[in-house]
Amino acid sequence: MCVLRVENLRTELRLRQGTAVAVSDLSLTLQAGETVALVGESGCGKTTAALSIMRLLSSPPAYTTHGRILLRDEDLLTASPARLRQLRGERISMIFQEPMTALDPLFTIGTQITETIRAHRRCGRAEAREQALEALERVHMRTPRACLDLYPHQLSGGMRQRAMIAMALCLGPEVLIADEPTTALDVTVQAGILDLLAELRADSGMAMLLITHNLAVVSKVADRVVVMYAAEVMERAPTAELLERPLHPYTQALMQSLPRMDRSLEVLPAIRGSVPNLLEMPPGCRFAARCDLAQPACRQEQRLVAVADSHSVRCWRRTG
Amino acid sequence: MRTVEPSPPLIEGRDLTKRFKVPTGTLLAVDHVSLSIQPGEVVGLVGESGSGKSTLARMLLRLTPLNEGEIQFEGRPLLQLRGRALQEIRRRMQIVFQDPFSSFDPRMTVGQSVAEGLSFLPRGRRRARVAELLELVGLSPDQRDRYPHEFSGGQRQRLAIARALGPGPRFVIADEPVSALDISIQAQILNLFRGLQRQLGLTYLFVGHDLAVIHHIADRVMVMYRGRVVEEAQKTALFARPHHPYTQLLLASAVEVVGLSSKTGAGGGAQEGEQITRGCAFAPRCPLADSGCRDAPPPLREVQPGHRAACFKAEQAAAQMGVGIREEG
Amino acid sequence: MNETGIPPSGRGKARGGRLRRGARFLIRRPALLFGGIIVTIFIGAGLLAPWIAPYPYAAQDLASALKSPLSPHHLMGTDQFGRDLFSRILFGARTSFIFAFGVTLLSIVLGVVVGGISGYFGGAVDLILAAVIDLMWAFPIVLAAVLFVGLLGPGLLPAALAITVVNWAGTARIVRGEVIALREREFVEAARALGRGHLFIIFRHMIPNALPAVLVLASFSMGIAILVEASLSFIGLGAQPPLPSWGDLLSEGWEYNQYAPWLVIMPGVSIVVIVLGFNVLGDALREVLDPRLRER
Repeated sequence: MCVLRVENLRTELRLRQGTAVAVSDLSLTLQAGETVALVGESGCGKTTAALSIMRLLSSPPAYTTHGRILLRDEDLLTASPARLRQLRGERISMIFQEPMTALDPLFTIGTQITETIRAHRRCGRAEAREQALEALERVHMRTPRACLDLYPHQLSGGMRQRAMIAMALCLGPEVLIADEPTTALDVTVQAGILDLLAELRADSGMAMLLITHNLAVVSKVADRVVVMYAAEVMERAPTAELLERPLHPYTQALMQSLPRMDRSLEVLPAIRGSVPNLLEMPPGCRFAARCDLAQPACRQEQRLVAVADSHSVRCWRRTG
Repeated sequence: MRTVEPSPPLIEGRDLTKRFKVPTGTLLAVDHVSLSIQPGEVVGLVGESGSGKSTLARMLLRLTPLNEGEIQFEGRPLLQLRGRALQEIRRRMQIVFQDPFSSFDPRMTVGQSVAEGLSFLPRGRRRARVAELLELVGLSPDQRDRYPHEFSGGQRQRLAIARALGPGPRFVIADEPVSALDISIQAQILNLFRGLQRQLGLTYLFVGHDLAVIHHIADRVMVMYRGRVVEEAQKTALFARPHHPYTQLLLASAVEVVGLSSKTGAGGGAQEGEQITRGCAFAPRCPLADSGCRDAPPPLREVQPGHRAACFKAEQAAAQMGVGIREEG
Repeated sequence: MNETGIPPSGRGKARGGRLRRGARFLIRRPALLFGGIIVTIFIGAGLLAPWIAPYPYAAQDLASALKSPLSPHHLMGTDQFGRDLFSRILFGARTSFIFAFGVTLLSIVLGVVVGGISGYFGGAVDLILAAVIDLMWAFPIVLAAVLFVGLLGPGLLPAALAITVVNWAGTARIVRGEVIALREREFVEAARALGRGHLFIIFRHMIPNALPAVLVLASFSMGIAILVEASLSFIGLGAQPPLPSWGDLLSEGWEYNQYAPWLVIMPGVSIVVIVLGFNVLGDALREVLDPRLRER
């Protein structure tokens, strides 16, 4: 059952230097219980897309001009600010990369979680505190009762991340957007957080949209992958399929260029050049300037075409 | 694999120790660490936050003062040097930092920044040398009058390398130089490091937490945990058969795209430990730990030729590990 | 890692020449324009007073005593001795400017050096210097003025000393704070690795980066100095006649408040406008300089 459906989302950044399209024609669906990874590097629009879905961008300078964001049957793009405030936290929630900035340093964990609960539900302080305790237990916080009275700076990185997850999930949302949740953590702690997210999803049937640039995390956690580059979707496929048979030259080149522990190369096949300036986008394929397979035909507008069952690519060379 | 001729080490550190005063007492950031790097070697220093790897790197350059220990560079004791002699030696050991954004003074042009290490050259020669350096790292000399904020992260890292190479060092410490870069740029910079090493005969200490990157670039690897070296070996040996439970945990956690299944005894349920007391720092998280492990810190001992681990149970850990990481072909 | 694929505005194509860009820059920031204009007028008036003032400061003309503003020959009227008010205000501006500039310059130099050293070296040096800075910063200006006047007699010099002695601490605090933050930045470590000495790093790296904040403070400082000088002169402890001073004009004009209010209004308004101008400029500078610095 589809809990989140994004259709043709377009977000523009209107700046003094011009208008940059940060998210161009993004469509994706999330079924209950599944994890979709939104993958790309800086400037690809994945974080902007996530914030657009949560309607957390400030206008100016960001404007979501096209598309629909359907949470069940409700379009978030037309919902009133009051309704959005209701939905956030209760039905759709978000966790961020840096837990230190997402948690208010001036208040205890307990206070922050209970405030969230009481903002959405009518319950007394004691009851909210009990629910907060439950939330911390669900994220396997080591000493949950003590943790309620701790401040963010008194916790380690991994624990802060768990606290943030507890706060995001305390009301049982159907959709969780996780923006690079493990990037700032040590690798031995990352595994714990990812396992936790998997467990929570299994328990509650929650769907997760995972934003990341780390293909290893994707391979471990995601059911389906959407690859973005310079604001466009370049390829989408189920995870196993994408990792075994990437079709888009960008995806292929990216995976080739990553250093790996099971091979030793003198020189890594690097992608030349760098991410293009969103304000000066060339016509046609945005990856063409860095692509070894580029042809004059790449200067035409490319479309996302389905190649196999649920595998689509935006590259004429792959779709004929 | 490259072989390195045995010769006097380029840089040697003994019993390097650094303590920091923190609100809760004293933090032993680096705990009597010894190391030795041969000319031409690339040594990878792996660890997570709190391991002390960055502190150790800075101690080698005397950017962080030592509490105990001694350092020999090119056979000469480093700590006693002052003034001009110290400046001379400083030219031969340089560092490239992690953050391409804060490692440049925003108020100086990149040309001026790259020229910072060139004070030993007569003024007339500096301009030419800056141009040389920029080209060496793949940038155009016309860019010298631009400011750091006009460059991308990858380009700034190239500039950082250019700046570090200015004085003509033999030894370069790279402190997580690609961690803050986009993945499509990482390969470029890693290739640059490798190419420069071949071209200029450099010796590297590559500090990082990304095992794949370390695997790619290092000849020999040292693993640190909470201020101590817990394992040290040639790269292939370490990855194929790690002997310390922490190294095994690291490998298991660093899931590869290929989806390696490394089952080790040290994964799952491992929490972040508290401050160490007397025994092995990893004991609170180690499934093999017993009372002996908590009583005394295990010494770094040879478990195989050229392979050392600081663990009383090293043989047991190596034996019960599932699959190591071997290179294909 | 927060590159957004959009370069900072520094790299944008130059549309129109430098002048046009400069003009557009100013128009977007009315506060900067307003403050800038006032300050420029003030400085111009002050420096050029001997040449543009229609009459000498002390020139009396009893026949034209107490003329109201906009009389022929007397833009702002005259006082009880027939002295042209406009000229006197111009000369007063001169005194104010030279005084404020001297005080501000000295405060800043002192503050930058002490704050820079304190922040950079830390440890015992910082402990002592920071204590001194805090002490001086808390010292009330008026008390200092009275102290110095008591020791050295009334006059501009004691007043200047009094203000400087207290004012430098404000700059020192700011500079110390900036330097402490900058000290941890990696380009400082890089400079040390490249062989730069401490003094070089302080003067070539730290201080230029702290300068924008200092500039903002300088603007506020000018305003304060002008105000304090006028106040001291008003009560007779500052500029001594025949040295021109707005405070002096105010105190002299006070008696004639009833029938020649312009004698009080003109200098008073001048003081207010100039001090306001410096404050507005300082505020606008703060806005302009800070976010641009953060632009990576």
